[in-house]
Order: sequence, then C-alpha cells, then structure tokens
Amino acid sequence: MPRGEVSVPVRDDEFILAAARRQGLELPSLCEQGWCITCAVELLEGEVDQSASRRFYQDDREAGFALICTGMPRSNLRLRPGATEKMRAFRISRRLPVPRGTGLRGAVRGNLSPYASPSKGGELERE
Amino acid sequence: MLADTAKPHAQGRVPHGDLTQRVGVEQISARGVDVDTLIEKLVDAAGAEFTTYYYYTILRMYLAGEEDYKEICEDARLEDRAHFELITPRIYELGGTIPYDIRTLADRAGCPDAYLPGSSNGQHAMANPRDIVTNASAAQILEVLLEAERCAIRTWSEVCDLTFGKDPRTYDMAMRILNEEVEHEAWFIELLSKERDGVSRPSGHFRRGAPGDAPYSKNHGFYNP
Repeated sequence: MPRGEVSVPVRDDEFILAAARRQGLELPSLCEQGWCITCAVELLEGEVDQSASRRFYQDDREAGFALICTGMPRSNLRLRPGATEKMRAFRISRRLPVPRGTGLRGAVRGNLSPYASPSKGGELERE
Repeated sequence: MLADTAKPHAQGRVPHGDLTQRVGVEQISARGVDVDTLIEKLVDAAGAEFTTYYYYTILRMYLAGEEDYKEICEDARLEDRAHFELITPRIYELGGTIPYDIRTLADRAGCPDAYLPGSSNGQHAMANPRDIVTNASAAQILEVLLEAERCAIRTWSEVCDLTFGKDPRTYDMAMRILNEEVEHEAWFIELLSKERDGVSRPSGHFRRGAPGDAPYSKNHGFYNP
C-alpha cells in the first residue's frame, strides 16, 4: 500500500486498479469482479463508473465508496484505499449483502500482509 | 522447564474438563492466527464453494451438445462441492457455524455468483417452467467458469498464506482445495483458448477416475503413473 499521496494516470476505458498496477502500486484485491469489496476505497473527489462491478449499490455510491478493481474514472479522482472494513460495516448497517472475511487486515497478528496500512489518499488523474 | 515435567503437554491454559475452550483453537491463536477472522474467511469461502456448486449445475446444463466440456465442468462442479464438504466441519471445529439461512450464506460468498450468460445476471424472467435461456455460447460459459476458478484460487491462496506455519490443519485443507482450483483454472484456460481463440494452451489434464473424484480434497489417490 502506498504511503502519502500518489498520482496515477488512468485512461477512461481502464479499471483504476489496473492503472495502479501499471504504475507499480500494489493495492488489495481478491475477486477482481467488483463483488468482494477487498479493493474498496473512499472516493474523496470525483466520479467512478461502476457499471462493470458485479455487486455495487446506489447506497455504496451515496456513501462515497468505490470498487477500483472494476471502476473506471469519469472525472479526476481523489481516493483513499483500504476502505474494506468501513464499506463492510456500512453494508452490514444497511443489511446489504457482503462477505465478512475478505481483506487481509487483522487475520494475523504482527501483520505480515503487504496491505498493512492505508495511505493518506492518492490523486488519480484521467489520461 | 519442559525437562522438569514428565508429560509437558498433558496440561496447558485450558483447564481440565473445560468444554468452553478448545486447545485446537488456543494453540493456533497462540501462534498468531486471529481465529474469529479466520472463521469469517472460511464461511465466505464455504459460501463461494456452495454457490459455485449450484451455478455450475446450471452452466453444465447449458453446455448442451458439448459432451467434453460438460464432463470437465462436471468434474469441477462436484469437486467444488467436495471443497464445501471439506471446509465446513473445520468451521465448526474452530467454534463457528455456517449461517442459518442459505440466503445469508450466498450473500456472504467471497466470489461472485457464476450466472449463466444471457440470464440477465440471474434475473431472467421465468414466466413458465420452460422459459430457458437459449443464447449462451460455450465460450461465454467457459469464461464464467474460468473467472470463478480464478477467484477461488485467490481466496484459497490467501487462506494458505494466513495459516501456513500457524494452523496446520486449516492449511492442509486449504492447500488441498487450492491444488484442485489451480487444476480447474488450467482446464478452463485450455478449453476456452481452443473454443474462443483456436490456440492450444494445454492444461496437463488427465481424466479423473469418475466425475468429482477430487483427488486432493477427498483423499483418493491421484493420477500418477
């Protein structure tokens, strides 16, 4: 997970996660189909097209979450990765379907996960 | 000191006769596993295997006329059911439970529902019992099967990472399941590659003895001439 702010150029027709990987950033993901919320981010600014996500609700959008594995930019974006637990808690509070165990954080004490801590947020610029 | 105790493992933190705790859980927790989180992951994974079994039943039916694809899909289908059967008792051993409502289990599945292409993500209106989807191609179905296996590989790889060296029992189960999921991916790569692209990408697949033999997750001997 990156530390500090990182700027990543993303094409209109490209998933944000794929663009991040192109830049050498390793962000959490699992199903890669917009379902398991492992890749959940907080959308601080901008708009994301989630039409390719297998399970994404209007409630999620209104609460400011995005799933970057299958999200494409529709504007310049500012994102904060590592929002899996927040999004899960939100879904549970709204009685929306959500896995309870996806995301590595907390599963092993003395966390060996490469996804150990969230960044402060990364700007993403449309190409 | 261990040398001072004749039988050092005869007692530990769990009091004699205490049924509210499990040494099998206490030991893995002492080695660094957050057991509650592990249970949640295993329930999500069990949900994914169970829903996969259900959806592969449909996908297999709609590989109509493709007898070779059907047989391989059937192998994967029954093996994924075997994965559910293998991991579910472990959830209970760890002190957990699977959800009491099957809909909750399905909602929690860590991998997407493997809907039949052309079924409007499972919402195809069934005005009568014979209202079947007629436009799902073999290539489309194989791609759904492939991506389902890939999600399973990522899921069980994660469980292996979490349990390796800390929880031998869960690791052994997860490793067995992962072995078969890797095989499943290779099969569907081979089939889709030929069906859609006309390109050979061999999987190394040899026929299972009978459909669903599950050589890793059912403890049968596997093909090794």
